[in-house]
Order: sequence, then C-alpha cells, then structure tokens
Amino acid sequence: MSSLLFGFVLLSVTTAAEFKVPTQTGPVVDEGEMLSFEAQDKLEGFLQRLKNSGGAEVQVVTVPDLGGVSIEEASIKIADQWKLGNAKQDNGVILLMSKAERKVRIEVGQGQEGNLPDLTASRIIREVVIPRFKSGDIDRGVIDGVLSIVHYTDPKFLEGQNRAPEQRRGRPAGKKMDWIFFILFFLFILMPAFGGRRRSGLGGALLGYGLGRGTGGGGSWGGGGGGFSGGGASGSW
Amino acid sequence: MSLMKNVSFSFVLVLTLTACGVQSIPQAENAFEAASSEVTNQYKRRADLVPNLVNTVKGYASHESETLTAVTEARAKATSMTIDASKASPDQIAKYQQAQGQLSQALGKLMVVSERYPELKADANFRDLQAQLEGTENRITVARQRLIESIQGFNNLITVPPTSFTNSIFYRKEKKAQWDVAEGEREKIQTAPEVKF
Repeated sequence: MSSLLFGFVLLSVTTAAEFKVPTQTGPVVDEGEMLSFEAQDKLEGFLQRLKNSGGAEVQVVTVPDLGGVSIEEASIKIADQWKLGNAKQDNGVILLMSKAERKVRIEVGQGQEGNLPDLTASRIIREVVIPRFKSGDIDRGVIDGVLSIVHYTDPKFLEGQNRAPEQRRGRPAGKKMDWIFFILFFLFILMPAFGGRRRSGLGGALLGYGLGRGTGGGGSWGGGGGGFSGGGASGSW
Repeated sequence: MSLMKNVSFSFVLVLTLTACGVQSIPQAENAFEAASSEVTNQYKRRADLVPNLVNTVKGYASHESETLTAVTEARAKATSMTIDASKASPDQIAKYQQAQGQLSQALGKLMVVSERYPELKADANFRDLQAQLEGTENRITVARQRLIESIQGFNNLITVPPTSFTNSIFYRKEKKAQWDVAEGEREKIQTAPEVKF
C-alpha cells in the first residue's frame, strides 16, 4: 500500500519499461486468456447492449502481464488509446486484469466519477471481484464486477432485473445455483424486446437472443473520444 | 476595396491552411492552461481529504502524534501556497512542488505507520479514505504527466520551425518552464526501493 503511494508519483517518471496496449477488438479483450468463451460471449452481448441503450461503455480487458509498469499506468494508457465513452459524456469505464501480477483495476471515465467514485470502485474490487478471484472463479468475479459497475453507472438498465449487487454479495461462495447466468438469461430475452433499437418485433427478440451469444448484434465500440483522468481503484488477489 | 478583401482573405486562408502555428500556438497555450489548472485542482482535492484522514487515524493511533502533526503541517503549508500555474515563474513552481512533495512524503509515512494498526486498517471509513487518497494520488500523477506533455507541445511549437517563425512574427510568446520533479521527490527516486514484479 505505502509502496503504491510512493510508486504513483514516481513510476511515470522513472519507468523505462514498456506496456503494450492490446488491440481493441470489442467490449471484451481477453489478451490474458483468463475468461471462458461462454463468459466472454455473455459479457460482450451485455456490454454492447448497454452501450447501444445509451449507457456507459464498459470495457473488460485482461492482459498476460504489465510489462513492468504499474497497473494504474497500464490502464491510463489503454484509456488514452481506446478513448472509451463518448466525448460529451466521458462515460467510459475499464475493468483491467493482469494475469501475471494478479492485479485488477477499475478505471473510471471523467463523466462517471460522480456515479462511480473511487471508494465505490474500491469496494467493488475488494468486496465483489477479489473474493471471487481468490476462490478461483475468474468468470464470476468479472461478471459480478461488471454488474456491480453497471449498477452504479446505469441503474435503470438493470432495473428490469431488480436485483442490486449488494443483495447478492452476501451469498455463500461455492453455491451451485448461479444467479448471474440466470440474470443474464433474462437480460438476453428482455433487453432486445424492450430496448432493442436495432430490431423490432418477436423476430427481433429471438434474433437478439441468438446473437446475444455473439457480439450483441454489433455496433461501434471504442474510439468515442471519452476522457479519463486517472480516477478509479486498484487491488490485487 | 474588394481587391484588398480578397488579398486579406487569401492571406488568412494561407495562414490557416498551412501548418504555420497561427492557430496551433494559442491552442497549445490553452491546452497548457487547462492541464495546469487540472494539476492544481487535484492537489487541492488531496488537501481536502487530509483532515478527515488525520482524524480517522487519530482515533486508532493517537500516539503517532508526530506523524500526524507532520501531515497537518505539511498540508497547511501546501494549501497556503496557491499559484496561477499558467503564469508562475520557475521559482514559484519549484516552491509549490516542494510543498506538495512534502505533503506526499508526510502522507506516505502516515500510510506506512497505519499498516501497524490492524483495527485502523479494518475501519471502513479509513479504507474509503485510503481508496480516495490512492485515487487522488493517481490523478495527480496523470495530471502532471499531461501537463508536462502539454508544456513540451507548446514549447515545441514556439521553438521549432516553421511554427517558431509565426511565433516570432505574431505572438512573441516565451517558453514555459517545465514542471520538473520536485526536490522531495527526487530524493525519493534516489532512495526508492527497487520495484520488482
């Protein structure tokens, strides 16, 4: 912790190390190969739909290692390069994980700092993401982490589900019943029917469900010009 | 008359079309001003966090009064010094940075000390403050890096041809002083433990 505090000021000045920003391919960039295909598909569909509905642009990134820089530095590099969120609202959020260092960070766009202040981001990391990562369930840690982020950035988007992440936090780990997939299942059926601007009618809903496994029906991602100023929180598991 | 207009119009057109700096020099200066006020903003934000932090730590670690006083004093010194970063002289910038650097050091020490108090570390309020402080320190780092880049960009425009010609003809702007690493921090860099990943 204290070394982090020292490090914040120094690393940007002293590091000669290089962190290579991965190629932007969509809402989930799993360079570190930490997520299952199933979780990736579901997250991509969910996040693309969230963006298409006018919500925050939440990016999930995993990298194999940080190339010797701090995770804060890596995530601001990603943020500067990918410019998530749009220029007007600056509503990008990044959930970054590095496999080798076992570090995780939520980087919050300028426009979301009110909804998702540092201490909230820190709580999501400490209370939602890290406990699940520690028990070895990366998929669930990421999915619950994303749902918690969206709970703060776009509560209306999750309203249909009517389940706040806090209510799920207390549940004992290792329980077989997986609420998240249950919720996501509902999301895939309900969201295209309600908020799908791209399609309409029953066919659209069904198509939406089918494509929910893919990219969520496409749409633009990244490069919107959203600004980041270093807000957020980090942790390690 | 219309000839005059045409001539002046094409003159302006040529100026804006070629990358001569008529636009980019003032733009770079504006970017620099924005970047510098972001830095002072984030320093202020950190200073605002300190009283709460000190009070919380006091509750659990009252006999660390020396460290706590050092933080309070460093904060008082840092907040008493306000600069208009866009007009400040190199000397003022150095003094300002030194004061902020001392606060960084005092806070760093406070965080080291707080590691010794498990109850303090478990306190929800303290954890929140810690998260906010970490976030703010990171914002300061980012803001300073952007400021340094914006100064470099501006100085390049007014010293490197062809935009430097435009500057010497139209604007006659001076180079901005670069925000060097402050005294206190330089010491820390020299004594910093090696970071290994």
